[in-house]
Amino acid sequence: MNQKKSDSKKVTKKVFIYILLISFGLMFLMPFVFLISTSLKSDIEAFSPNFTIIPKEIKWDNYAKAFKEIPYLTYTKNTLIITMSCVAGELISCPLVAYALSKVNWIGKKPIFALLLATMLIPYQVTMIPLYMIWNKLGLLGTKWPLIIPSFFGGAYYIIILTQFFKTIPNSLLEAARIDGASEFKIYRSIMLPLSKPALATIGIFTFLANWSDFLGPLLYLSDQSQWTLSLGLQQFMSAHSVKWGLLMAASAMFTIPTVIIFFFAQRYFIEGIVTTGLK
Amino acid sequence: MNNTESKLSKNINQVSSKKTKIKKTSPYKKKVAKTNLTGFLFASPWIIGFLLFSLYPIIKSLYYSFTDFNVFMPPKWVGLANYKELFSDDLFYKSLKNTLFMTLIGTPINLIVGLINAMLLNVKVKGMPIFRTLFFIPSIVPVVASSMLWTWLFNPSCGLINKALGKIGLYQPNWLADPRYTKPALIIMGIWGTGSIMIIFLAALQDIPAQLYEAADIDGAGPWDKFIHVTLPGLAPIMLYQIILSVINNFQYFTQAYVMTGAGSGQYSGVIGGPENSMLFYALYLYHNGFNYLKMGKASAMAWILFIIVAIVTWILIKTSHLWVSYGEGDDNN
Amino acid sequence: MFKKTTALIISFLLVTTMFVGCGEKETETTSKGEKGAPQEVKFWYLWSGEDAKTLEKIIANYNNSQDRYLVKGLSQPDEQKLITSISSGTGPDISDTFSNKIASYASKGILQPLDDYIKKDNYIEDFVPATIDTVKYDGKIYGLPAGAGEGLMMFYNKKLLKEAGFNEPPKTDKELMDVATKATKLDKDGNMEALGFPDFPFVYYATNMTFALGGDLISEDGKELTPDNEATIKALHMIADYRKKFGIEKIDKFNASNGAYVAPTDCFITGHQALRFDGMWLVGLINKYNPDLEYGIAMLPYPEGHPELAGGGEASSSVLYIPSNAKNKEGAWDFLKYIEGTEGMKLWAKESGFIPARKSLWTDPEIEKIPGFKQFSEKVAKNNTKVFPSFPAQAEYSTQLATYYELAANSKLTPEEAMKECKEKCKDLLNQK
Repeated sequence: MNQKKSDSKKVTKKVFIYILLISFGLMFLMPFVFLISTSLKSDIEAFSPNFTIIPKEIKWDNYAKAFKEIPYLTYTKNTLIITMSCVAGELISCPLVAYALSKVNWIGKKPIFALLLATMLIPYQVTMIPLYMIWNKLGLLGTKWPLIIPSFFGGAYYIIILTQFFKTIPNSLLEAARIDGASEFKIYRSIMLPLSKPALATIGIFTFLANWSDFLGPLLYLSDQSQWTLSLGLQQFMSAHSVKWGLLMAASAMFTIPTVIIFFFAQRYFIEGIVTTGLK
Repeated sequence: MNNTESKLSKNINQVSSKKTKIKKTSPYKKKVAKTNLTGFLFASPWIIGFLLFSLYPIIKSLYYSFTDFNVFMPPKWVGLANYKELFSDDLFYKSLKNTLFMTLIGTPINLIVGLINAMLLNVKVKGMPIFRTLFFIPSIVPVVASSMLWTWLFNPSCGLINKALGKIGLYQPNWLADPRYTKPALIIMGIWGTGSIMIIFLAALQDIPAQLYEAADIDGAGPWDKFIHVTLPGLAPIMLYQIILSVINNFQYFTQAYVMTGAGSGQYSGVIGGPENSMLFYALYLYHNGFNYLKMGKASAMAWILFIIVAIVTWILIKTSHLWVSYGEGDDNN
Repeated sequence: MFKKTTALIISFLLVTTMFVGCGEKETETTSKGEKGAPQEVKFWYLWSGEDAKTLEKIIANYNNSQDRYLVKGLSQPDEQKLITSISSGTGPDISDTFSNKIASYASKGILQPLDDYIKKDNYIEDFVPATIDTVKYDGKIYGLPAGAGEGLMMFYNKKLLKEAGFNEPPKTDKELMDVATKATKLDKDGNMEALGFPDFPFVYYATNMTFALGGDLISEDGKELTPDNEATIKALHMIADYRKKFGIEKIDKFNASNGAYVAPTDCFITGHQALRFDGMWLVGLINKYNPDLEYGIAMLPYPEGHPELAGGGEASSSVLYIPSNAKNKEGAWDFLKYIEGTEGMKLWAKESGFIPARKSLWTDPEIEKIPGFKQFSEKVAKNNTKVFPSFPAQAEYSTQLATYYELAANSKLTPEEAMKECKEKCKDLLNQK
């Protein structure tokens, strides 16, 4: 009897959850739906106050036009170079630092961690201008380097995530290796890294997402059009005298889709995988 | 000491150096030095980066804040002039107020929405990856595009939001033209951008052992009780972190404001911060001072004032955290 | 598994370094140029869309006409980004801005003075003298004006005016108020259907009206900023009264619903605005989006009883300049000579629809055909236009004015209070460098 009751309770609960998920999901999806919808409209229809989801006249060629109107491939290439370089940079540097802050009992362990946290307090505006002048002196303004180089020195946010994750790896594993005479670096490379794949994947994906749509960085540092990234390129559809809505939305849609795909396939890595792995 | 005795003590030290400390004989000291070097080497990328990209620029920016600097000519020392100018500048206070509004009201809203979404997405139903992606998409649509979309949605006569309000019979504000409603409009926009907050909460929720919920079920706890006594404590470790990060981010609120007040945004009054400067956020005003008026010295002063405010607020948050966040088992003391 | 990820990372690094290598090499060869190949001249301009296409045509003509220099154009509408690039030495060799920024930029050393080049090539005789005044700072010439600085005119919708009982556009400020009020239409729900006043775009109203009514934003001796002059206060009273009469909310709603500026749904272009202050470019856009619109162009109103002040308004034009740290100044000057020369300027003015700064072109039949030429040139001839005060901190003055104009127009402060506060706020601006 109770079983039946709790079963039907479970079903209603599930239905309820589905309803919530679908309605919230639709709500959240709404801007994207509009994005796609506008991307298929002509400029005049895009402006029309009578809003329709399915355009009266579907302009598939907005996508082709957007592709041609701005050097889409060049911008994509630039965006990819910067983004992937940053991913590589963070993946190389962050675990190293995280290891020091989690598994090496040295004198700087706590102070450096505290310092790390403190640097996250610094509003980027404080360092923005002097950094700009530093890159100016180094002659690197107008190049991609100011956007890439810092990632090889570790980002505080990612280091913190990795540090917390490393702490969940039992010390006994490391001790065993140490007693066997392994060097710290060997332990790092053969024990820590392999066990941290989910966390590393998470860092990689976060870095990718952050850099793919970075706007202010490229705004400040990339002057020549041949160097622009997609986020800057989108601005070309807007000017004081007119906004090319259809093309802007088409370009934005193309811009967003890679990140959606990556998120869809990689989500299980960092959502479910960031859980403690324990001994494997 | 004779040889055998010292040899013996050395051996004892090597075996027991893990459990006991102190014995300051040279093999121990060497080991400690080696460990310190190792730690330093591993951490060196960040340390070097910190010196180059954080410490040096911070000090330099402090210097610039005491100068008159337009980037094209060498900086000229002016002492406290920039700060004096700021403290008597209306727009400075206005931009602070606007930013505080965003921080105080936007932060809790974003966190609550992020948490609710995360809880919703934590349920085991089929097709969850799809739902999660749906919820996450708005936060990765380029700001330029989504801001334009929202300008539409907020259109006072034919935008969806007012149409919906009209159906329920509520007041339909002129969202982006009425200075009283521009910030609420931005906050509503911000709700759609809580994807990353949601992800972190989701990961943390997954960390809460299912057994705790099962135990609560057996005890006859209802959903609200489970939330208060299992979920919230389980989220405690990252909650403080999320709050601090969210506050810091909101203090630096820039991109949406920049897009919503710039070219192509529908603002034709010539006022840099939107209707009656209601969208003049601190970072936006800083940007205009630095890159529009070419007053880098004044902009640097603004940056430092922000730094100090953020530091104070964070310190307060951390110091009072024990009052409202409780930590789970040993997580700092590894 | 670990090996796989390392392999992935390494291959990404390799691939990206390849790209980076390729990319860097490309820019090097094109900017240095090999022996005998033309030197590159970078021209970044704020224009976009159709205007940009015209510029590219001119650039192509220039490149084809000689082989010493190769001009590469780029549409860069974000002026702050442009200035940022220049500040880092990675900017263009030639660019453009508006005449009301010349003092600000020149005082900061951003602009290259052109006097020596001009003297050597004996270049500016043909230019309307007033236009050269707009590009001077501290006695030196810092750029060349593209247009004659005709500024804004009053566009009026003939149909809406007729329906309100007017066959002629208003000539004085009083008449403007009358026409605007009577030509405003409300629909059955009380929402605004036709906007009578030149309320949209707001940014074009107050300063222009100030000058049109004979006022100035700076004292005659240039020693004091005068936002509280009579003309500005009068202009603000007019718009504040209009807004109070019909309701700010209604007007805002109307503005928001009637699309973006010069978009196809722009309220004047669609025939829903009776009076409008705007520039010559509007003509081309009307022809493009709504060629059947019945409209006329007239001069901005003069103060009642002072017809000698007719044809007032803000004189401003686009100015081409060479950054002081440009890499190829010779090339930039050569191109500048061309585009500001008779041939270049004629094509430019004809296609983009503005009055050229060269007197000799005014009698050219093709130029006379530019829509609006007659009315705009009449205005220039009257010589009653003024320039925005020229001093280093002019950008901030402009921002402060905009802020207070808005407060006055929305009746948050009276025009007198607003302008007095503005004056107080701006009192140190003249001394700033």
